[in-house]
Amino acid sequence: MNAIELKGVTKTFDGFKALDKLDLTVPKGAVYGLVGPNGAGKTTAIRHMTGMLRPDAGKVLLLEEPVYENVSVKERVACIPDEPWFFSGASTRDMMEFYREIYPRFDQGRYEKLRSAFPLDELRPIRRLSRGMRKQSAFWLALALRPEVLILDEPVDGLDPVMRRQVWSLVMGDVAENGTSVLVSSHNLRELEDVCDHIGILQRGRCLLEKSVDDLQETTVKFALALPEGAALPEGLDILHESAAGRLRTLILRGREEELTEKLQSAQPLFLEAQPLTLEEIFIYEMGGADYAVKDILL
Amino acid sequence: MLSRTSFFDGTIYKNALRRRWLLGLGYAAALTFRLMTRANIGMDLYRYANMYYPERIESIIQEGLTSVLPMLFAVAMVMAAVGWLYRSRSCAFAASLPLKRQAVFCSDLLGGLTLLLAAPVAAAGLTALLEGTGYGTGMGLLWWLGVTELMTVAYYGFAAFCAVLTGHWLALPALYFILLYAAAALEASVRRILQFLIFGLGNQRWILSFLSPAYYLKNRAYAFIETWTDWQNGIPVDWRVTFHGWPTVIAYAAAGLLFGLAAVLLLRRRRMECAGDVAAEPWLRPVFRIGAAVAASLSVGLLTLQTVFGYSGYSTAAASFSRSMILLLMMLIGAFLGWFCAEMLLRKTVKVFDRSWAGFGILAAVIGALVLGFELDVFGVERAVPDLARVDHAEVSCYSSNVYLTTFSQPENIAAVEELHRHVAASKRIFERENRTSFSGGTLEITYYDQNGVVMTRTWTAPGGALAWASRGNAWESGIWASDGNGVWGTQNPALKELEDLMNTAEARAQRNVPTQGLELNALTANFGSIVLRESTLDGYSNYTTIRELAPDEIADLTCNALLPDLRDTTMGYAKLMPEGQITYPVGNVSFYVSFGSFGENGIEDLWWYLDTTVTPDAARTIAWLEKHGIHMDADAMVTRIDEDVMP
Repeated sequence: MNAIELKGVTKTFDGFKALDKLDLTVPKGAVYGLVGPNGAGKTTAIRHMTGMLRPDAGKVLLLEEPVYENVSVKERVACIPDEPWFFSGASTRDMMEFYREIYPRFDQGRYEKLRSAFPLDELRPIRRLSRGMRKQSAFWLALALRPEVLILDEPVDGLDPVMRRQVWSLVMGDVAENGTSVLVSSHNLRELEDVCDHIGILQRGRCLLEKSVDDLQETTVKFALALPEGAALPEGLDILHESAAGRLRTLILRGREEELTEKLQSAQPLFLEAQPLTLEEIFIYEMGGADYAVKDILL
Repeated sequence: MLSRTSFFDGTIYKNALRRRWLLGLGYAAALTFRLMTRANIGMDLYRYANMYYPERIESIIQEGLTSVLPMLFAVAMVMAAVGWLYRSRSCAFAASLPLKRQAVFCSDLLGGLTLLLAAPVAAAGLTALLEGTGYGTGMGLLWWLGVTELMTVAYYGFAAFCAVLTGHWLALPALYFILLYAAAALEASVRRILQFLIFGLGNQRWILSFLSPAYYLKNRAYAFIETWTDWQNGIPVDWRVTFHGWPTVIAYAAAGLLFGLAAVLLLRRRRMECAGDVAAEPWLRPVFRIGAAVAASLSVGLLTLQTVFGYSGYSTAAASFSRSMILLLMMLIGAFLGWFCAEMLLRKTVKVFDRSWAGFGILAAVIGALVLGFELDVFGVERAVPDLARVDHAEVSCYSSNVYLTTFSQPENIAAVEELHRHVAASKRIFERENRTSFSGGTLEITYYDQNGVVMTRTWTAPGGALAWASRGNAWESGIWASDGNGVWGTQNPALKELEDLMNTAEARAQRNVPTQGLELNALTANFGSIVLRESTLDGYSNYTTIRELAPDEIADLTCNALLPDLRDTTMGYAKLMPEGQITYPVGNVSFYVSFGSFGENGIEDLWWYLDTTVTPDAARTIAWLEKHGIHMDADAMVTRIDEDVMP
């Protein structure tokens, strides 16, 4: 079962195609990182997922149902946008009371428990809080909804490192305990590396790549090797990147480590070592040659 | 599937009440303040002087009709209630809630409406509490409450409708007020410009003003007071206030509900990404562009009429071709400004001159074609005369006053009216040469009626000097132009001769002069009366006046045996056209004003009848009576010689 599914979603604003036949799938229980540079269409995609926007073409399904104007689905979804919106003058308590009546799944006990995690004055008007505190307030309320799907748009912007860790810890706790599915949008890949088990890259309204992190890491391997004088690399390697420093060559190869090691051994290298790849490196080498602004999602 | 909860959510409703109560309170306070001051309820003078009951009630109702508070607070409340539509963040918040979007919209609106409807109740209740309900206050407050509540619903529904047409919070009140007054403004503007271009168009019946409720209620709906006074002591003994505006106000409220319903339907298909845009729907973009261009074109056109040509309306302009072309040029400039400013707002950039020219070109061509068409009478409006067979009767009015209004029902006279119409319409170029656009000189208005009502009205205003008249011999003989516009005096104008002839037909004279039945009886019981004799110069101005008091028996004799028989035979009461172009009825060198009435018990004169006319040679019985009483008249020259012992 998929938590979120976008099938061929297209959306155009005044002639500008923000989403272009976007296909995206978030499996249930996954923590999905949606990455892309500014203007790639992340927020537009999220606004389709929350039911704000109606696609020009294609389907947007949450928990296997169309989300647009679907009350029963929205009851099970929580979203924290980049800049959360609250009623003017409302405090966290006011918003909690509002949510408590609107969302049937709102968990008052959970809200009380989370008080210790978010050191906020819940009676203070939220607009008077700092940006980071407003984000905390949004997390507090969203987690108290006990959502089956949690959609986060640039969620930890403005949070200090301690609070980031705290927030991720709470989110991951929900994922582990309740099987909550999480979609996290960010323009920064490094931020997602530690928490996501699935990654999708958005560029110009299209999904360039969508894989589980395990798949990515299992199918892309970095080798450091030194070949004898005059020896050549074996045939049939899918080389994503190659560099050399003296006789030591660094190869990024697409394929499984065992198979690639076996193949490279046939060239009788003087030195051969498989090295771990970061997500960042994978994306650089997967996307780097494709004229995409990959650097934008790595900085 | 839709259900009750698809359109209403109690939490949102309660939230709306909790968050916007201050606006409701402000509305109640403003209404109370207006009631307590404008309607003068708090003044002791009114409290204790019972003769002011009806005026108080009328004043309170009128306050409800003319107050702008419902109009202002309705849009303010809608802005507060559904302001989330105009920001993408709040839009996203509302859309993410587990509710249908129309449920959020309706619940927010209903919360606001509840507060707005509670405010007049609170204001009326507070006023009644402070002032009591006696002395007519209670009745007036109930009527006021009804009017205010209904108009609140009307304005609120319309504001909600405007709210879904736009995506920008500033555009909402702008659109709301523009549309509220658009019909009246458009009608007034188009009418004024057409009056300038179309010779003889004159004032037409307002047909769209009801679409501008604030304007319409202020000018058309009113409370009517009837008072019965005890003349013994001058105190009103009974009164009744009648308000004829209920159907109108109820219709507006019903329209408001329909607008509210339309708003909900439009919201369901609203593209939420339009938050921040001027126009919320794609089809509104061309409407906005065209509307802005037309409005700007008319505005610049009106400005040109008033500032460049000094034309204030309310008259026929007879604008020359060159002036019409200047007007067209200015209107095209206005259209250009309106079109591209609208484009800038829609596209949120000033770089709009790269496209949209085709649309503007089409609009400019339409404006040009219309202006030229009306100026050159391509549509035949100036020349149009109704089919004689379909005309039931025609009214001819001179000098823009109903005092001189004459109705013609006889076919030969209606035909004469139409002939007059054709001749005046054919005089367009003479009027244009005078090159006057402001109201001066005389006005001739012809209105044709068929069995169903008004067929057509045409009004021609003669520029000053163009309609100068001279009398030759007997003054009703003919009218001539003083000038043809080129300094040539004495040019004959058959149209004006025809007008004078029309005014002196038996039908016109009988209608004008024959008094109502029962006058003889009144004349027999009158106990005061007089004759005022005037000798006039040829131009019609009086230069000699004498007064003769009449005894009761003289009143009865003069009225029953001389004046009434002569008037009924239409041997008196001729009209002539005056130098200013107006028509006047005391014709000839000698005119007299006769009046009589009775003194009331309190000694106040109660005038029963008066006649202001000219003694003509045909009026044999009247001349004989005057001769008998020492007023001798030369039947040819019509000058008087009054015996010295006759006048006091």
